[in-house]
Parts: sequence; C-alpha cells; structure tokens
Amino acid sequence: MATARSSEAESSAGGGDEPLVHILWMNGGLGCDGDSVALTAATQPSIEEIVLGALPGLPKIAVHWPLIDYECGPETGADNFIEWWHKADRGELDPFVLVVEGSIPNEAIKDEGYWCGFGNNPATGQPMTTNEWLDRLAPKATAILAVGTCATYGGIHAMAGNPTGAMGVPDYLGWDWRSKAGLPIVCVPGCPIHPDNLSETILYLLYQVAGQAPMIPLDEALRPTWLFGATVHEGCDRAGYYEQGDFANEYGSPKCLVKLGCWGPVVKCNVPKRGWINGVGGCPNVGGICIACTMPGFPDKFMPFMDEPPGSKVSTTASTMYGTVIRTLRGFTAKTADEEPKWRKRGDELLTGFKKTW
Amino acid sequence: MTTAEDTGLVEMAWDPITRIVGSLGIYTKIDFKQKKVVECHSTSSIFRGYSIFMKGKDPRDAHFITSRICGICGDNHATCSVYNQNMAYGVRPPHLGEWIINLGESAEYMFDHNIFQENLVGVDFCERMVGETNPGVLELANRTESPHAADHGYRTIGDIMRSLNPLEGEFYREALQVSRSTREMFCLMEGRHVHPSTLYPGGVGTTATIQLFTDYLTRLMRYVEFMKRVVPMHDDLFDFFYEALPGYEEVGRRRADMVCWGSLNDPDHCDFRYDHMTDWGRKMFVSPGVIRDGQLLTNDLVEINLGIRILLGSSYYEDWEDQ
Repeated sequence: MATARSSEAESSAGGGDEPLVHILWMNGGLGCDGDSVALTAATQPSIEEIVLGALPGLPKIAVHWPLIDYECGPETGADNFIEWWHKADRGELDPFVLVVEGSIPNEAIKDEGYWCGFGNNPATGQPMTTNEWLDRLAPKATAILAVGTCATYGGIHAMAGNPTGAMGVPDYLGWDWRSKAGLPIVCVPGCPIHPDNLSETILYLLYQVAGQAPMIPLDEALRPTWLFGATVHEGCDRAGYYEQGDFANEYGSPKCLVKLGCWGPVVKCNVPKRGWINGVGGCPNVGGICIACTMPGFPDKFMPFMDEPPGSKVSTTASTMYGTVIRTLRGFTAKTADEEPKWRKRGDELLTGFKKTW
Repeated sequence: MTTAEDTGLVEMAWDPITRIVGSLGIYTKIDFKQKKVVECHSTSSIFRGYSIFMKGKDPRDAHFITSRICGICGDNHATCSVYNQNMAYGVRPPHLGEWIINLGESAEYMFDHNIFQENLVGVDFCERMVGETNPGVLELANRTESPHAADHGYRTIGDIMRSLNPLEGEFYREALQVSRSTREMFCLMEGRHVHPSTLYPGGVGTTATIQLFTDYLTRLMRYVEFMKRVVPMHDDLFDFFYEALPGYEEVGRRRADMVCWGSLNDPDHCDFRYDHMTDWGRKMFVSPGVIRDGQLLTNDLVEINLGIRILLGSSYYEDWEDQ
C-alpha cells in the first residue's frame, strides 16, 4: 500500500519521531475474502482516510493487505509481499496489529497435507500453514483483530459435517488470550462483516495503540459493545409491524418477516439500523430474512433458514392478539390525524376561534 | 528464486498473489535467454469443501451457503443456486423479481469491472509501478500527450499514470468511490454485498417501490457519466503501452477457447423448465456459448450442460455410481 513505500526505511531507523504501526492482514484462513472486500466499501471512515491519516491523532500506519497491496514481487525478490510476515516473525516489526480473516482449521486431525496456508516457509520451501503463522505471530502482536464470522466463531466453514474441524480465532488461541499489550482478541462478526463496523473498529484500535483511547469495550463474545449491544429487531424499521401483529406472508411485503424465517428478535447486529453501505440496503429492513450471520451459533442453530424460527410461534401469537386490537384502535386515531382541522376552507366566516380584540 | 545450472531455467514463485481475491499462488520456470515462461502452475492454498458440508442440508438454504464460496462474486453463486432451485422446484418467479435480480447482477458487474480495472489491475499501470520497473517508459509517458485529453481531463499519459497511484492518485480514489456507489445500487436490489439477503428461490424479498428504482436510476446515470471519461482514458493508456513496449500485444495471447452459460434472464421467455432451456437460454441478455479456436460451436444451453465433464482421473471427486 501507499505508505509502505517509505516504511522500510522508517522501521529500520527505529521509527523516527512518530512510531509506525504495521497492520498485517492475513486472509489465509478458511474464508472468502469478503471481509477484505467489505473494507473497500467502508466510508465511516474509508480505508484511504485511515491509511492517509485523514483523521486527527491517528498514528502513521503501513498496511500489508493482500487484496489491494502494491507489492507483488516474487518470493525472495524485490517488493516481496510476504517478507513483511517474516519480518514480524523475526521480531523486526513492532508494533503490529494482526488481522485474521477466515476460520482456523484443525491441522492435528490428519496424517498428511494441510487445510490452509499463507505463503511458504523459507526454511522448508513448504507452505506455511495459517495455524503456524498464528502460533508464531500471536505472542508478538500488539493486538489481534478477528474479522468476519469465520475468523471470530468459525462460521459457514465450521458447520456440521465439515471435514476440517474449523473454528474461530478465540477457539484456537483461547477465549482468555491476551496480547502482550493486554488486549483480548477483538471480534467483529458478520458474514460478511459490515464495512463500517470493521473500519470503525480498526480506527478505535489504532487510537488505542496510539494511547488516545481507553481499552476497547467488548462483550462476553469479544464483540465491541457499541456495535453489538442491540438486536436486529430493536433496530429494525419493521418492528412496528411486529408490535401490531402484522406479518409478511409473501416476498416483497414491507411487513415484519418473522414468519418467513427472520431471526432478528434474538440476533445481535446493528445492520437494520445502519444499513449496509452509506445507509443503503441491509437485511430485514429491506426484505431479507435475518439468518443470524453475526452469531456464534451461526449457521447450524438457525437452519433451515427458510423456516419460521420455532420460538417465534409463541411470541407472534401473543403479538397478534394484542397487536390486532392496538392496530384497530390506532386506525381510529390515524383516521382523525389524517384529516385537516375543519376551519381551513374558503367562505365569509373565520372559524379558527380567533377573537378580535379591537 | 533459484537457477538450475544445467537448464538455465530460473524458478520464480509468487505466493500469495496480491491484488486478487482468493489465496492463490503462481509457480514458474523461466528461460530468461529465450524470454519464455517454460512452466507455470497455479495453486490455491485453502480448502473449500462446500460439496461436503452442504450434504444433508435443507436445499432451500443452498443459496445462502454457496454465496459464501466467494467474497467478491458471492451473489453470482447465490443467483445460480436460486436459478437451480427454481428449476428443481418447478417455480417461475414473478417478472418483477427477475428484473430485480437482473438489476442487482448488472450493478455487480459494474462494481466488479470498476474495482478490478482501476484498483487492482490499474496499479500495474500507475506512475509508481512504471517508474520502478520501466523508468524509460514513464519518461516517454510524461512527454506523450493524451489523444483524448479533452474527454477525460488528463493532459499526458504520465498524468493518467499518476492518477492511478494507489490510494494517493486522484482517479484511483474516484474509482474506489464509484465502486461504493455501484455497490449501493447492488444493495438496493439484493440487500447486502457480497452475500445478498433478499434473494430467495421463487423471487426476491426486495420491496419494489418507485423510490427503489429512482435511487437506482440516479446512481446509474452518474455511473454512465463516469464511464464516459473512463473508456477514452483506458484507450489512451493501453494504446500507449502497445506503442511503448513492442510485443506487449502478445501478453495474454493464447488459443481462443471460451465458454459462457449466459447471464441475465429475460422473464418473458425464461420459465425455468429444462425442456425449454435451449430457447430461454438463447434469450438471455448475455447469451450462452462455447467457442473453440475462435469458432462458435454452440449457443444451446442444453448442449453446453450435457458437455460438462469432471475428469475423475485428475480431480478429487469420486464417481457418483453406487452413491
């Protein structure tokens, strides 16, 4: 990336006046790179604002990120992208934040081969597994950021019947793991991750590394509390239909989607409130059932996605009884509210109630 | 990089490849004297396994799962899965649902083209890259006037290259923004990018309102205005490279073997019935076809479908007989 041009000189010169924070992005887990792609969609802040230091108080950073990295040279040649990882492994990059994308397989369950790797081990010429990178770099990282549901909790690749034994970074390193700087693993789930949820968390961590922000507040599943404190339902603009017991029974309806399979009432996620990109799109707010893709129990505990969640049968029955009455009463009030006051018309008389005082 | 004394071949490897989606590597043996790549192998270093863990799952969930195969074109996988389900269940979605999918997929193509061409590939043609790898070409570019400068605003080819510098270049950043507005267009139709939320077998959940299409149309016309500058700029840049680097037109030249199963159904014709697939396949807005050595062999989707083979001898799949 752009700032990497001058970073080699700076890091070897001991950082100069301003410390340079490296971000090592490892997309070598079992994943789809959708979280990398999501970061290019972010606007609050955008990746270019983070890298070019457009926000006050940001440390200087050098991002080593396969998706859009400038460096593309051959192994052991000039502009070799993977060399930054070897530098970090040798303890030559400090501080760095390790970003992990994709779930972590279990490499211990088989006799030969590997499930996933990232570049090669120069000592052996063989692929360096993602797991080995984690083992090597975790003790040296100032912070570890797990991005997307695969890296946080295992996600799709960890569903029942998978052959890899896939898991999330906290399952692999341990839920009580702390970095050398005392930070827990920071988990930002989502399949894919919400663009601004990701860029904002990166921003927060950079401020924290620069000593400008207190410890990032995380919940019991290591999620930033301000992003994952509310449910989909609490932020959904269709929740009013639920309250009135008015449910969609077919595609394209603007009403509450619970009966079509939406898990929103029990899923921690801010997407209906935030939209997907610049406030546009989302899930139940635009007609897509919530399949709970941010949750540790995803996907197995929510399948079949296309069936009504079993628990909602009771709650929707209750809201239908209460809501039908309320909706009828509101209908009367709404009818009155929909009519102008009677005095607004042409004629010889003033009917507003105004009394002349002269 | 290692050199074998006897053959004079240099082994070179790129792993991981950057500016691409997927964990990919390229391993080559190069004869620098003859200026030939003698051997080249590509590899992917992550296991997928979708055909394994989708077994036994409710087929109505298939599109939600297959989407997760790819983080840049997940929606294409979801769309294909929805088409397959429509055929399997014998359902024909309402026309409006088909148009919404077509508009969503079209926005995806705009986004894909934009981020790939400017933010991934474009970097190979930027001032920084050309200056480091081919300083003479950059000097020539700085002296070369852009033939279409009036259309795109960059006076010299060197100015175009500077505008493509990653993150700092003006055009690179503008293209990144356009990749966002085209993704907004996508999200209007399919909810989320890259894994859609509103696609279902039998139709879409998208609430079709006048506002939805106004929001799409206004963004589309801004995109069209943007492309009126992009096309002449690309012409100028790539025409320059053909002139500045003799032989450059040979890059990528190979036998013209191509296959396409078509894209963007016409709801007036597509009924998702296999016995009509030849007809509705030909009515797709991007029609299917197989091209061998530059010759069109067929545009019949049934023929194409029946011609697909998995060569069991060189794959990890097992024969499905007795399964």
